[in-house]
Amino acid sequence: MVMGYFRACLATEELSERTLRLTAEVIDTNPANYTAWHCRRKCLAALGKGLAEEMEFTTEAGGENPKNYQIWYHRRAILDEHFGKKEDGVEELSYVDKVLEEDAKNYHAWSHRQYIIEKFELWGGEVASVEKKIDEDIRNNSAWNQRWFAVHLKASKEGGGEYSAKEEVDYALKIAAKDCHNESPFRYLLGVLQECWGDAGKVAEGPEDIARITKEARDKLGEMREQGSAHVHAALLDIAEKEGDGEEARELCEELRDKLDGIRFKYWDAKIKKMEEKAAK
Amino acid sequence: MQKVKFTVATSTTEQQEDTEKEIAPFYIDLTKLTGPNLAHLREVGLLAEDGFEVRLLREKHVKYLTGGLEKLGSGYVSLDASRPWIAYWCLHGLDLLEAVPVEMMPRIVDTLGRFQNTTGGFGGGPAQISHGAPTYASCLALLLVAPSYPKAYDAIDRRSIYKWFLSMKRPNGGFMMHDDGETDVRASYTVIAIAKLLNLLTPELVEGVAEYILQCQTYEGGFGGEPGNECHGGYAYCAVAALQIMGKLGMCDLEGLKGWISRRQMGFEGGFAGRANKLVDGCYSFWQGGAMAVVDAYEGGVTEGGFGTGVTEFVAEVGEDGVDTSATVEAKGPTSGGLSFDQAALQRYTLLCGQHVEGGLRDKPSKARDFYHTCYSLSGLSVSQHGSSKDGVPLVYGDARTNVLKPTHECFNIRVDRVEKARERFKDEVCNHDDLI
Repeated sequence: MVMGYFRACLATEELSERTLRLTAEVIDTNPANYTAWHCRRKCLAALGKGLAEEMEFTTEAGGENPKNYQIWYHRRAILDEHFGKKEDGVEELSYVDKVLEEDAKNYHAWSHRQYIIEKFELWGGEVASVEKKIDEDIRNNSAWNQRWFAVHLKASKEGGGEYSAKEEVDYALKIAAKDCHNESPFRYLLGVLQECWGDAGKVAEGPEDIARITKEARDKLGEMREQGSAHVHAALLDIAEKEGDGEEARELCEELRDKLDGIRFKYWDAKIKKMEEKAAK
Repeated sequence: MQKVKFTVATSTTEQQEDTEKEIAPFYIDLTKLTGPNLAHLREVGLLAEDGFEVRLLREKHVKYLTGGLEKLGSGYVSLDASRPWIAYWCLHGLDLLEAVPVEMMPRIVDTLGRFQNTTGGFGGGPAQISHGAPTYASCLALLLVAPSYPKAYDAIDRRSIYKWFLSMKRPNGGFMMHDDGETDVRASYTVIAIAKLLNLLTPELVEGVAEYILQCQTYEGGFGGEPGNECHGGYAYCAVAALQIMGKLGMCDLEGLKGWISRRQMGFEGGFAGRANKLVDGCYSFWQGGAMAVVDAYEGGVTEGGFGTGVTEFVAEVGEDGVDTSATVEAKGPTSGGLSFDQAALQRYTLLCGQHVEGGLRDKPSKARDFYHTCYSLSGLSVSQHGSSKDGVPLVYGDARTNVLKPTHECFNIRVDRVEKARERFKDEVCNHDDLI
């Protein structure tokens, strides 16, 4: 019945209170009905409705751990249309916090968080708040990705595009040392090192500092090597290759293939073959 | 088989341990089974009657998926904005099993046709605005039945779809999923894949698209849904396949990408997870396995993009008891097969942990079966059997008499022969921006 009325309103393009109420009923039975959300936004615009209420409605429709695209996009569209003050952004961040308490890896919530931080210029406190998330679960890879986002955004807005690689490397190594079997900090570390080695414009440090940072990271990782973690080996391998230490790289790769990381046998084996080809030349 | 190690317990390691515990009973040594346990597994069809090879429950999956098609007309309130998805998931699963019911085709084509809008594209149901996902799913569904039921080709209004695609395009090279909707790499992929299949991939449509997608590759090597977002199997597949179709996969960081995809395969479970430090899920058999097949095809010389594929179909001699098993290679251990992941382990996960004994496949044993997971688990199995196969001979884990699926195209995820037919059908149609608009 509701669907029938709703379709009739769509057909006549009636942007009224009645249609708005119908969209709420349709959304109640299926929050993924994107046509109903779309129509709702049109009605709101035509009626000039109170928008704080609309955020409340959306929160209600989403439940505790919303995972559909429509609900998150609706929040974004409403914020884009009608909110621009920093307080609005702060309030929206506290909503995201609540969702992340329920599910610390909710993909949509993290994506929405990035949107808010950028739109409302809230990057100032983000690294600290992400550290808290990582303290709660050092394997929360979404939080690690958010750290990358926040550090780079802040650098681009305030630091002329540059950030301190040393701070990031130190942080990644500190958490990596707590549990060397946790992939997240190792990938973060390698991401920063790649930027050090590649695009010099991204990090604040110069070539000498970068050489020192690389060496320190290599030493710290070397100390962890005995613990038999594929992540430690893989990180050492990347550094060895960068430094041109072919023999060590090969040894690490063989250990990964034959002892530590058998499920990726073909991946490591292909790397070894490439090294052999390179050496033959 | 290596379980995840840790020294600091967190909620992530707790969930991981629970999953490993859940999986372990499925990985017992089957050859040691005796008595009622063995009899039970043979009775439900999971084990060969004359051996210990694991079997794909073909007939049960066919029954389950056919049921989905029957419900298409009425069903599922929660999916009433995703009806083309149900059609595609069920049809493609059935197509891999060579069991699409020809008698249902007219009704399916008619139903999907009613979701098409005159302004271009398909909605998720009647009287719904056009959306990239149902447009993708509807077109794939139509293209996969069309070789048997050519009216399905005529049901697609190419010109209006082209105009609609262009109207969804954003200045940053991304596409919106629908009018006043979200922009992400799913939208990019659905547009590029369908445009390629319908011969609509004009320079005007492609302009700036790769640049948007490339911004979504992260420091880990995979791709996220939007620039800055965490990399994720579903989005990574969309990004990788779209780049390959446009002939631009070489523009991304391929080494980083390969490393990231390969790290998503779980050491103990054998299946793939969607993100780092997340759990195995059968649907990623295709999202991750398919993405790797795209990369391997590219590195194997399929650099033209578009219709190129790393899959060659082998036409086996069919004996009285089904497939000629001499035309298959046994998937055994992490070294077998030409793809850069452990194909045997993935097939094993799919067959042992993914199958519901009543038909259909699932995320993991504790989860319910559904059409989505059935489609993508089977698609991943197909990729893992046929991807980069030597001379087209499939690599098969378990009973080769029952387990071989038809090869799916790694960029479009409909059968390779369906892609070929679509290419033939549309190759002489207008593909020029000025004439299309």
